[in-house]
Formats: sequence, C-alpha cells, structure tokens
Amino acid sequence: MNRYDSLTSLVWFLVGTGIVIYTSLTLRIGTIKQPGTGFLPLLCGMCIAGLGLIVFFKSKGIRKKSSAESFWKKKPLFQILITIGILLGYAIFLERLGFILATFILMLLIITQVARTSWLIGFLESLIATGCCYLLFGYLLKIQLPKGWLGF
Amino acid sequence: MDFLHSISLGFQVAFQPMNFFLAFVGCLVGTLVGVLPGLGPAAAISLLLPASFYLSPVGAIILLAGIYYGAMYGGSTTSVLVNIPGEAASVVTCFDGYQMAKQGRAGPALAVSAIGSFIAGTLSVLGLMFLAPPLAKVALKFGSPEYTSLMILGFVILTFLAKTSMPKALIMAAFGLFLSTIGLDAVSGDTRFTFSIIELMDGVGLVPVVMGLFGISEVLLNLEEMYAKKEILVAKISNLFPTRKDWRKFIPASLRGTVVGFFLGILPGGGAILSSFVSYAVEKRISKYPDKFGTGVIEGVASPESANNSATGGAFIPLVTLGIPANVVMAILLGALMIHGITPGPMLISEQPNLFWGLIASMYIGNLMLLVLNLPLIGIWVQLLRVPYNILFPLIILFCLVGVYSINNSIVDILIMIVFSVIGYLMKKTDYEGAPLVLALVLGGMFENSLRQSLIMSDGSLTIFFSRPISCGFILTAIVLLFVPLIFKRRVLAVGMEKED
Repeated sequence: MNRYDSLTSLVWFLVGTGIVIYTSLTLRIGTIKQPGTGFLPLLCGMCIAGLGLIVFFKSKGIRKKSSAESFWKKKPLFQILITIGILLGYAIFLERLGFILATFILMLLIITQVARTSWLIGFLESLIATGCCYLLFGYLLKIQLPKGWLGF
Repeated sequence: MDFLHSISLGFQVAFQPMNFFLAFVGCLVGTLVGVLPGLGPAAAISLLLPASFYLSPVGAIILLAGIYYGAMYGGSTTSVLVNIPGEAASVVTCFDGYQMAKQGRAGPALAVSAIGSFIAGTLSVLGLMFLAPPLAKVALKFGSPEYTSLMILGFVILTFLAKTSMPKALIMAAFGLFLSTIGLDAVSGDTRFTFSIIELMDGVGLVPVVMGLFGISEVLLNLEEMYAKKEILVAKISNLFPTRKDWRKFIPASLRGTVVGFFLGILPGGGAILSSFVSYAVEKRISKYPDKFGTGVIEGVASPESANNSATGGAFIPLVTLGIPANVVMAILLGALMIHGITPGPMLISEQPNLFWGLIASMYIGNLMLLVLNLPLIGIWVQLLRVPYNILFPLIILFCLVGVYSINNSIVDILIMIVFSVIGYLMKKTDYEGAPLVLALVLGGMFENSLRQSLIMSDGSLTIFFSRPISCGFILTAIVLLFVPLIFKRRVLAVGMEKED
C-alpha cells in the first residue's frame, strides 16, 4: 500500500459519487430488463466509490513511515509545473501563432527552462527539431498543420 | 495444402518492399525503445500510431507489432551491460545478466539473450500460426453473454496480476469503463458527459489518453530523476560466443521459457513482464543449484529473455481470434486496427487473410532482422545510453503533441493528453496502474453493448451468464480470482513483480 492511499481513495470516492449523482440527474438509467444510457456509467460510479472506500479502510491499517521521503521534490516539482504550463500554452496558442512559430517557442522554452540548456544550443535544437517535424508531418505526411496569424 | 497456401500468401505480403521496410523500421525503433530506459513499447507504439494512419492496415500492424517484439529484444542489452533494464520485461535479466557481465562474460550473456529471443520469437509465431485459426472457429460460437463474461474475466485477471493492490487496479478498470461511455450512446444516440464539447461526441480518444498516461507522464516522472546524475558503468564485451557447456544449459532453459511465456502471454492481463518473472521462478525451482541464481547463471538469462519474447506471440492470439487484447500494447494495436476500419475477432482470419498471414510472415522475418540488429550492433546501442536525457525528452514531448494533434486536428485532443499526463504522473506516484484503465477504455464500448444485449435477451436475469457453459466457466474463474486475494493475503504471482519496485 502507498502512504497516500487514504487521500487518493477519498478522491476516488468523491469522483465515483460525483459520477453517480450526475448520471442519476442527467441520464436515463433504465431498468435491468431494459438498460438505458446511464446504466453503465452509474455502475462504474458505484464501483469507483465503493472501491475507494475499500482502499480507504485498508489504508487505515497501514502504519506510516515517518522518515519516508516527501511526495514532491522541490526542484523537480517546479520543472514539472513549468512543463505543464508550457504544454497548456502550446495548446492555447497553436492555432493562433501557427505550427512553426508555436512549436519553435515550445521547444525553446522546454530546452532552456526545463532542460536547462544554454540559449544558443536551445535555439539551434529548437530550430532543427521544428524544421524536421514540419518536414515529416507537414510535408511528407501531408498533415494539415495550423498556419495562424502570420500565415505559416 | 490450405495452410501452405496461407503462409505463402503471408510471405508474399511481407516481402512487398514497403511492408519489408516497415518491418525493419518497427524492429529498429523497437530495439531503440528497448535500449532506452524510460520509454516503453506502449509509449513508443502510441507515438507512432498517428503516423501509421497514413499506411495500409497491413503495413500499420506490421510496423507496430515490430516495435513490440523489437523492444523485447533490445531491453536485454542494457540489462546485461549496465544493469539498467530498458523496459520492465527485462528487469529479471539484470539479476544474472549483469553478474555474468561483471565476471567478464557479457558476450555470452548477450548472445544467449539474443539467440534465446530468436528461438522463442520464432516458436511463438509458430504457436500463433497453429493455434489462432482453430480458436477463431470456436470463438464463432460466442454470443453476447460469452463476450461479456470473457471481458469481465479479462478485467479481473489484469487487476489480479496488478503489481499493487487489487482494489486500486479495479478502480482503474472502472474509471476506464466510465471514460469509454463519454460521447454518443451507440444504442439511443443520446450524448453523455460531453458538456457541449463537440469533439467529445466521438468519445475520449485512445491516442491522447495513452500518450498522456505512458508518454508525457513518464517524461514528467523522469524529470525528477534528471537531477540525480547517475554514472553508467559499462561492462566490456570480450567474447560473444557461448561455450559448449553454455549451449547445453541454455537451450533447454530457453525452450522452457518459451512455453511458459507463450501461454502466459495468451492470458488476458498476462504479457511479457509477468512471463519473464514466472519463467525465472520456474527455472530457479527446477534447477539443481537454485542458490546460485542471481550470481550469473546462464539459465537465469536465457529463460526470462525467451519468455518475454514468446509472450508477444501469445498475446496476439486473443486479439486476432476474439478481438480482445491481452495487454495494454495489444489494446493500442486493437485501437489502431479499428481506426483502419478493421475489427479484430473470429472473422479476421477469413475476412482479412492478407493482414493475418502477412503479420505472421513479417514476424518470422522480423525475428531474423532482430538477430542481425542485436548482435553486431551492441556497441551502438550502448552508446545510445549516453545521449543525455535533456536532449531526448523535449523531442518525446514534441512527437506526442504533434502526433495527437495530427489525428483530428483538434486542440481538445492535446488538452485531453495534458490532463492524462498529470493524472498518469499522479497515478505513478501513488501506485495506480494505467494498464487496466487503457484496457477498459478500449473494450468499454464492446462491453457495454454485449452487457446490454445479454440483459435484454434474458429479460433482466443475470442467470444468462451462468446458464451457458462457456460463459459460466469464465464468470466462475473471475469470481475465484476475485476472492483468492482475500483468502491468501500475499498473492504468489505478484511477489516476483513486487521485487521490481
């Protein structure tokens, strides 16, 4: 058992309960003879909530080690949050900036801010990676990549 | 005669220049993935999944299957030379492989794992070739209740064999099933959980979920380790060929590993990781010197390496005969076939002989290619380990983003991938496994339809699952497996896998 089981099991209990309530309010459950649209989601919600409770009660019996290392390591956590932020930014700006510009900025930020490489190497690696990616997906595989405001 | 005709058809398909090239690319990428720690076959296949949409269905499956069995070959190289398993199925190879390398016997260890892999890979393809067609005929007798109970059994086996706790794995399976219900209901046409997002009408895509859970989340996890600089000590390779004594010991071990791996590979929820652990345990149990295992015994390398390769052949059997994937890699392959408009199942062999026999033949050819790729190129593969991760991971992220976007040109898919990257990262930190989730997501639609059909057929009576012999057998097995952990607190099969942690 993981020492965060009591917390995660409560999260799953809430997720399951949420699914059950939402399904009951918005979907037709039907009967066991004629199962409706909400039949399986309701069953899933009940299972998730029930199993969450089982994990919660099982975790109560586990003695936690006080010396166990922290869930978050400070420095990597910052890098992980930056990475997720950059990915979200890419999703938001991809269609506005266009594939080439958005991808170049994404790579430059990840290489320099997360991988902690120098700006010069980051610039060159981003340029090469963006170019190769465009060549492969846009040119060879003929995928429609977004052009954005600048037209490329 | 019919059989010879089929296999010659397969070789005609596999030797077409494009398919031959794709088998080579698959094996090469697979070996690369196997060598590089932190990138498993599931992540690699999902990375190449979008690119495979532009290929023919046969070409796509040949390429993706090549990655799968190629990764099993490549994983052993780093286990033996640097004590770092390239992927999870090669963890056991470290036990004796690295010890052999430290004693100056890295060459024979690598040769044994490559030759053992070749023997196992080839024999498992033979097994697949002979077992799949008769099983497909049996599967034609399956109705909705049998499919429902078989899928329930699959979920239960997968959760039973979970590395962590069974209730946690069941939560994952239930959550995967729930995710599969998002979108349009196939029976009534009603929308479910779409929150007016048009892109969700078709449901949550497999590729964004898999790339998030296995690709980006792995990168996030590896970022934690990036700051702890590890020194890689590479053992030197002096003589590659095993001695006569080695041959006498490793051939029987390799054959035993092949048999164990093949049958465990067939089991839903089984696969290469379990096969390698079980075969090692079997080899140790029947050995005359079990206490020497872990100190550089050649059987300890031959058996698990053969088992994890033969498991790949076995895993194809439930996919091509029943349309049910045995593990997460097969689930992704099922998704790939369905995107190409092919539904694997009992009719696959008769309706798509080119695909089935082409795949079989390509696996024979692929096994030969891998033998050539692995032995002479060992030096190059080891050098790859020296590629810094801070150069590698931005490229993995870029491939995931572009790959996901290219499927539907949809930003929503990218957002789904990001959400599942975070979920996957938290799951890994808190010991929740992704495999049951993915399997349930893939099978969810099929499971819901067959469950609803069964209940309508029986007028709401659950006895339909017990009154039909095949279905009853599946359900009873599932019930037994559900209650075994309650009876025996420690699950014997999971013991070996827990060692991995």
